[in-house]
Amino acid sequence: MGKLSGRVALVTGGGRGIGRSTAIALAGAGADIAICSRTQAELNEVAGQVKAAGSDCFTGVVDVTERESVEAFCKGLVEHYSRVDILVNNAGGGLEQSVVAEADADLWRRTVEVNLFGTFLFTRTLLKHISDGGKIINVSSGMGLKARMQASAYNVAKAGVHMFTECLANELWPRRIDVNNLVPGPVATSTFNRDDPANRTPTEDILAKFADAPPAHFPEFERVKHPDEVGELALWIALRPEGGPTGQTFSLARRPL
Amino acid sequence: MSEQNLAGKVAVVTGGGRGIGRSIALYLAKAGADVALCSRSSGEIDAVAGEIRALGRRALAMPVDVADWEPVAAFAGAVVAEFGQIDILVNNAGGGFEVTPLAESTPSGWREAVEINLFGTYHMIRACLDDIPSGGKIINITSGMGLEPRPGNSSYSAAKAGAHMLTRCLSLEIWDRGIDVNDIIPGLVATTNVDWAKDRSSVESVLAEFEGKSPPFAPSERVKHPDELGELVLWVASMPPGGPTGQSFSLARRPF
Repeated sequence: MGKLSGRVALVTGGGRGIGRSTAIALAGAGADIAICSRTQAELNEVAGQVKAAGSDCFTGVVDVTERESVEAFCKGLVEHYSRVDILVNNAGGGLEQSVVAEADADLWRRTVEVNLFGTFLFTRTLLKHISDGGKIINVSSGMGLKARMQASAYNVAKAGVHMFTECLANELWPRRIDVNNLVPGPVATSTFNRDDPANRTPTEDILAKFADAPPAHFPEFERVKHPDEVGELALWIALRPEGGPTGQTFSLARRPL
Repeated sequence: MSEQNLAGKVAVVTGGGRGIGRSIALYLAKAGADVALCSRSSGEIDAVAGEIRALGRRALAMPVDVADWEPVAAFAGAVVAEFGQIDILVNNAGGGFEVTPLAESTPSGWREAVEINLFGTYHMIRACLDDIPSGGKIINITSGMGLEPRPGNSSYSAAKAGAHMLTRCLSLEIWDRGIDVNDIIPGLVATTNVDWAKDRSSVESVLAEFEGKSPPFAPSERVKHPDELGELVLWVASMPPGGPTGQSFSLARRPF
């Protein structure tokens, strides 16, 4: 019996990277899992790992910015499990990577939609099904706390996630639902490596590429981590007892934020 | 988590005689560390040192006021002479002394809070730093009051805000020595120096008063047992090298 046996956890963006590691870590502690992403093949691979750990896995292809898509997935999820105990809003990414003066307005909007509106939409849709005493973990970013160049949409979206966590924590403590941010710092993911979606780099190759130093836009004292390290932290947050921290930020970064 | 993952490590805990500091010292000792303790009076730290020795670890207890540099330097020297190095430094000694609006404060009372909470942390780090090896951890116990202004205790708030910034500055200075520096925000904890409990004669009396309810000034908070802080400090102290540094880990139940 794992410490999360009998619990149900949803990890958005659970097909690869941090979401994949988080889903597998939560399954390792006994939780039944739901994952969604845009790519069924990736979901199938993670579902195989989750089931090998002895947990059930519900999957669905979802665009987190589309209300109908999110609502249909959540309806199926609730029919399957009848409730959610742990919601990890992980789906995200930086789509617009220009300075504001050159930014594409549609990509800028979509970056905010994926990171911020998607987090709101899953939370809003599932909140009445999240059990009292449950946990919401929002994967935020150090970039939501400190600005960088050529990432204003992501900076702004993650800052919004950060504040959304605090707003939700204030609203949900009477239901004993704890809401916290997780700041991963740099992690060896395909998104971090800015891969072409048609040609994704394996985690180990990304780790090897940055073994001596992080990319130039990070300070030299950051360390590019394996996604499993973030999965471990997400599991630790999910395992806090009722009445644990809420409205807080748990970070693996190595630079003051 | 391995019961013995700190075997062979040396930890220093200031204010280790009671409350949060005592729990931290015992959690680190149970995980295998030898522990040196200080506080202003010797009776309580001697008792905790006895508990640590009963666990089969080495212990050193010395009465030290961390506000004063000379005794801190002597304490650090004694720890290194006894144990050889310092792997984990937990700056826990602190407190709010003159809880009063600034307009009614006295310069000596205001200064005392800064000396214990901020200078005490600085003194310990300065005295120990040469003897902290790669892989070492410095953990400063700070407070949500150092992040969010509240009326009535400006000396404590300012001192804890200073300690918060000290954590971050230091993390940038010593990352290349492989030493991680973080702070911990306890939130509300049942200790004998809280000013919001009617009966603060013991941890148990404070816990009993707030069982199933929160203090009126913080309805979302839960009054915790000091052992929850011991557990959190052990977790941070057990992080692998290259773990988080310059960060805060909080058990509070309010956004700051």
